[in-house]
Amino acid sequence: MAEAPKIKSLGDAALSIEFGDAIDPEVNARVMALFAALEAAKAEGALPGLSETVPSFRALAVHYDPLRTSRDEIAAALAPYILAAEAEARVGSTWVLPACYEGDFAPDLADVATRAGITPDDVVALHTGAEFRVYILGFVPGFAYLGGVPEAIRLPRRTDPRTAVPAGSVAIAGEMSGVYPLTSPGGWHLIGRCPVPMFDPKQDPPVFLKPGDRVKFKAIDAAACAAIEAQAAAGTYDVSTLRVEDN
Amino acid sequence: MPDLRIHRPGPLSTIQDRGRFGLQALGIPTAGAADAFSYRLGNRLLGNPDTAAAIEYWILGPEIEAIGEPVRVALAAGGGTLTRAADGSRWTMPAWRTVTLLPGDKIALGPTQGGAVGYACVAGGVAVPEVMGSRSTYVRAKLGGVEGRALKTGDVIPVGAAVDPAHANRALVEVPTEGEGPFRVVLGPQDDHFAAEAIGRFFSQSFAISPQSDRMGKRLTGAPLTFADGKTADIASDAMVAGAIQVPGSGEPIVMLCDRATVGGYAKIGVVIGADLPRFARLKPGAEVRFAEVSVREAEAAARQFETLLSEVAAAAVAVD
Repeated sequence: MAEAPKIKSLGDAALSIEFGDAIDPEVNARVMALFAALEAAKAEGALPGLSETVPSFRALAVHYDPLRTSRDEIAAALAPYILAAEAEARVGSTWVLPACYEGDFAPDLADVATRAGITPDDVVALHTGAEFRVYILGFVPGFAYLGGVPEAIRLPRRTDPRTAVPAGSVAIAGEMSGVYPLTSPGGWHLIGRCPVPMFDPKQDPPVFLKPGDRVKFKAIDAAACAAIEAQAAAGTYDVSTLRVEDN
Repeated sequence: MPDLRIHRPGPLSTIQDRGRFGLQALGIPTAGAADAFSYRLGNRLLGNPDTAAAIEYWILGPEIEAIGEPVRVALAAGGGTLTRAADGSRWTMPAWRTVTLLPGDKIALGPTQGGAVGYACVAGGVAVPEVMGSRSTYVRAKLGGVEGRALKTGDVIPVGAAVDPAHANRALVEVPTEGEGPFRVVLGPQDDHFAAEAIGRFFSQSFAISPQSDRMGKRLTGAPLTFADGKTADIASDAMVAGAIQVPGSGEPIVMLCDRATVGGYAKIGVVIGADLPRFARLKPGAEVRFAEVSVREAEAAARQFETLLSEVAAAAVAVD
């Protein structure tokens, strides 16, 4: 039987509803089920004073306006939703993201291979052979934490984080992989470049991946990567072509 | 509608409103005014809604020039030097008043008074386009404001229609304050990651604001906090709120502010309450801070008192030329 969620204070304008301590698909599915239920309730005007909910791996943050409600009032109002939050098997979309694992796009590929005791080609084969789960979006706009890095290439974060990881970098750290949507600091190992815009404020929604979705990577060469980058820059790249038909 | 032209932008001047809410689930930070007290009070002196977009600056602001039509400006938390176009005369304007700029008049904003951050609010609000529901600038993702970046010389920014164009200029007679004393903190959600001794020390020792501080957060220096037996700084990343006090492995806390990442992987010992966050956000590097534990109920009462104070201070403003 699943652990009963814990309600913890997150200051005077938010609560954290914790479903566990560890990163686990089942726990994350319960978080996402409660997130969906509260968003639906909010859209119907239920739960006055609730302003925003933010899911993460194992917890849901519920923001509220302390001038319109109180911690005790909102906690009581949330109780039935928390009890009803069952891990739903949400059938997410599956996406295949193109990635170039060559040259300057992959500054840490050789190092990852050496530390794993395999060849760089093996690393690419493992990364493109894996199916990842989108756990959460966070850190910077559109950064998706993709769980499911194969055991053989799970490495701790770099001891010397980079101050500027280029946008589009495909990276791994521990069991997580991700694509940096913007140039930002980062301590993950860079093994490729994905030319697809992961965050586009002109699109609705601005981020196409959703928690619960599945992601696979497909190796492309530098020319194909440049071609997609050019289309993305011109605003003519259609991310929906990356979605695999569900059947 | 008038415009404002930016001359000499200052070290970090951006357009901010209350913030961009409802999108943290996509990883999009709220951004927004760092010092909500000064920002909201500036808007109230003008008769603006509390949500009108303003120019936020750190220590020194831009020099702004009215173009086309008069613009009423509130000088919140920092004064300025006004140059009248008609006769070239220069006037030193104190903080906490409004002033009408005629076309061609310029005012050089700052330095800030009492803290590190100041605002120039304008009657009608800064009318740059909304991006995802807000005009707030979030530089890292190039969202909002003017092209998603800090202001620079030559920028021309639009001003909206004032709610009450005949509104008189107003000034506060006294410099407003939310009080002094330790910054109040609600413990959690990961206070169980810390040794009992460390929690006691967190509330008894003082910390200093590090120069490594910005709109994302303020780093604190002081005797490092220690973790409970079998616990470390690391957690499975969860949501961060404004005021969250993260403690990385070094044991020196970081208080998260408006441009914080939406999630973080370090244990949070507590959260600075909303009523004390504006005066925390405006602290300068080197300032000494202490924290005091309060219950959520006490914090909720403080939130109501904060609103009352804001209304009372704004209502006490007097008409000036």
